[in-house]
Amino acid sequence: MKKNSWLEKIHEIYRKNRFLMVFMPAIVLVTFFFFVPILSLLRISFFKYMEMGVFDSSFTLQNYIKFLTDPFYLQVIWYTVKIALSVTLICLLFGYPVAYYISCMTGKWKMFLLLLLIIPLWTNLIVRIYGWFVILGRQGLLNSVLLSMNFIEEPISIVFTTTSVVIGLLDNVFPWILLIMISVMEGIEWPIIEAARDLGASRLKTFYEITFKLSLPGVAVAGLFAFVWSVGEYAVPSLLGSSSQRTISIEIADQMLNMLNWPFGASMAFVLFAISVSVLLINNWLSSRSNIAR
Amino acid sequence: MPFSVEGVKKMKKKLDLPTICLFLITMGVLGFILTPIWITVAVSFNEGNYIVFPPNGFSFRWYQEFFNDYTWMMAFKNSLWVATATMIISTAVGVLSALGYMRRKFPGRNLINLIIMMPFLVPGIIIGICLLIFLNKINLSGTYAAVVIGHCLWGIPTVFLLVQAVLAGYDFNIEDAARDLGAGPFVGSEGTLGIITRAILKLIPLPEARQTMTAAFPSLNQAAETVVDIIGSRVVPSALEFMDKHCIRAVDNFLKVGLPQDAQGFLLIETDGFASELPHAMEKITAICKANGAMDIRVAADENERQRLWKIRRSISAATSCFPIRGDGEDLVVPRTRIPDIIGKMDGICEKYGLFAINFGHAGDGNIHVSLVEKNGAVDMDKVNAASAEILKEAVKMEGRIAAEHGIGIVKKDKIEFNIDPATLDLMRTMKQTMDPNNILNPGKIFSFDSAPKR
Repeated sequence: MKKNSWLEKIHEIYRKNRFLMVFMPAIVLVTFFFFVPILSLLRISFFKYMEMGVFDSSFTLQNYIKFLTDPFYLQVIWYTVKIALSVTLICLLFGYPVAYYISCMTGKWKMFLLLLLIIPLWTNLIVRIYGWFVILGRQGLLNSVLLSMNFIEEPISIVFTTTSVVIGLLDNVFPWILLIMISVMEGIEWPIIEAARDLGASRLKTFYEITFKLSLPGVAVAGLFAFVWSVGEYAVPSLLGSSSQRTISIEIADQMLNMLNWPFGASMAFVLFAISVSVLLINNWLSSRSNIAR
Repeated sequence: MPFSVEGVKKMKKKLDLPTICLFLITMGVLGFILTPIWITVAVSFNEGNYIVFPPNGFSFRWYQEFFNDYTWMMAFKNSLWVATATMIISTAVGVLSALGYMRRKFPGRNLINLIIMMPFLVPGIIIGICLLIFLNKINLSGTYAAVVIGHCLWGIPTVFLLVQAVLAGYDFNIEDAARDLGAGPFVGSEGTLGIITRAILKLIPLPEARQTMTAAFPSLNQAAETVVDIIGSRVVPSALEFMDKHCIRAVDNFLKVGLPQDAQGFLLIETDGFASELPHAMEKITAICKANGAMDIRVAADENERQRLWKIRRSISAATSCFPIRGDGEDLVVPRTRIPDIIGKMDGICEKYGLFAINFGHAGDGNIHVSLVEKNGAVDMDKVNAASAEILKEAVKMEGRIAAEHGIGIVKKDKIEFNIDPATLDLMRTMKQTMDPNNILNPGKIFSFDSAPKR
């Protein structure tokens, strides 16, 4: 009797939660090819590097200590974070009005603007980076325009500088950030805005009190994505960046592929991971705090 | 946008400085993200060997080279294979998860969201080296499968996110459907035909200023005349409340505010609007009250006094609660000019049954709340019910209704035929049974269905 009821209970639990099976493919894939690998990477980051491609599996913090104390690497971390922060700020500053404008539009004009926004997403990043070479190169579009207008005497070099890296990263994140912010702003119901106008708030006050405040969570998420994608981007800095100013991701790839110092590369990867996660947590904390305040 | 497309259109029509600035910034940003793409297309028709702009001449040379070169075509084929496999796996897995995720709420929902979205939130380089090491270990490194798995880790969250966004979209048709069905019959159906899931409210800003006054009259007729005159003078009061003699006495006994004991009618009048207009409106109203023989006029000079005047009106329930009241909350409506007539009739009916009626209400709407009180304290429900039925019939004779703001509900179910003819009642019953065959919407209100509901 008792056994039977236990079985029934288990069956009942299974029956009630059967729908969870729809998540199985995604969870299995992500667990097996993401969480397991990242844990094994975590293990490797504590190994001791002996020589090229050879490690001792004893536990050491040496890799982390080296990365976080060596002035050269500290400078690399600071440079990477600085670039990611500037990309995030520029992106939000220019992206916000654009998202606001597009979210206020209707009909065919809006569909057209959204289409223009989605075209870059259909175009591989490498192709777009190539395009920036053509624009920013010594004999590129920008230089020839500036030369013909007599703004400059001889071609300026923009490619392979911090500027070109920031431009490439901006190009990479802009469409995504805009889509996120537009979807959040569209979620703001017009009746609220109209109600504010009906109750006598000025246009500016309505924008600040309703649109701006309600869009802040979306802005926070957009900023988070902009930062995380910029701080760990590899293709843009390796193709558009200078060889002397390197970012964390380039150092990681260098250690993993060329130096075959996997423990050191892995520890750098985890510092990068920690930076991303801490930004995520700060973001969560800020948004939960603003929710309470509201 | 859920409702009010007009709001959006308003925005679009405006062509002021902020809109122009927004337009220019939008064009700038779109130009920024699109330029490298059209430049690349333009350069692909370049004739020369180097990347220059503008291109040196136009040719299909590089396209020819691409399609004729075996190595390039192999790479192209590989890309197509990887893309197709990634698309199929990501779409299937991502859509499945998104459907499950949006379908219902369950414990651990946020955790599943985080697990699926995690690869999206981790820098790509980390996923890259993780897979490099891991796939090496399980001997998948360098295969198609390895590349497809790498792409899927990005593809699945992307699909998951996009499908979620689509599923979360508001169904714009619901509101139109509701309009097509016609909200008409629902008004006054007291929830027996449907439930409210979404309401659009008309909002009115708070008035700049308010003025409140009261006036007592030696006869009910004079009070009623005053109401008609006030509305006729084009002043639209925001409140126009009246009390009859029994009500005045009950409140004064309770509050001791010195209301004239011989007053037969009492009005509380409030107007709102611009501060500059109000004195004029109040002067007009005061003059009308005086012309109609008001004996005690009080005008609130400030908010405190205003609250004191309102306290008279608000104390009615408390003041009358000491009476053994039956037929409480009786709620009828007559054309506002007929208020004295119906109250006169009430006096006659009450006299017959040994009761008296305490009346108050919203004079501007002709809405009266009648409380029937036993004169000698004994309570005889039959008498009260008979009196109240007679009063309601009188109201109907004066082109009034047996229920105003309180509705029919349960109490007045048996009196509904006073107001509505049998044919209309039949139609209403049929409608109720059609819309709600199982009788689950506010059951027992307005109509009783003795027989089992039709299927």
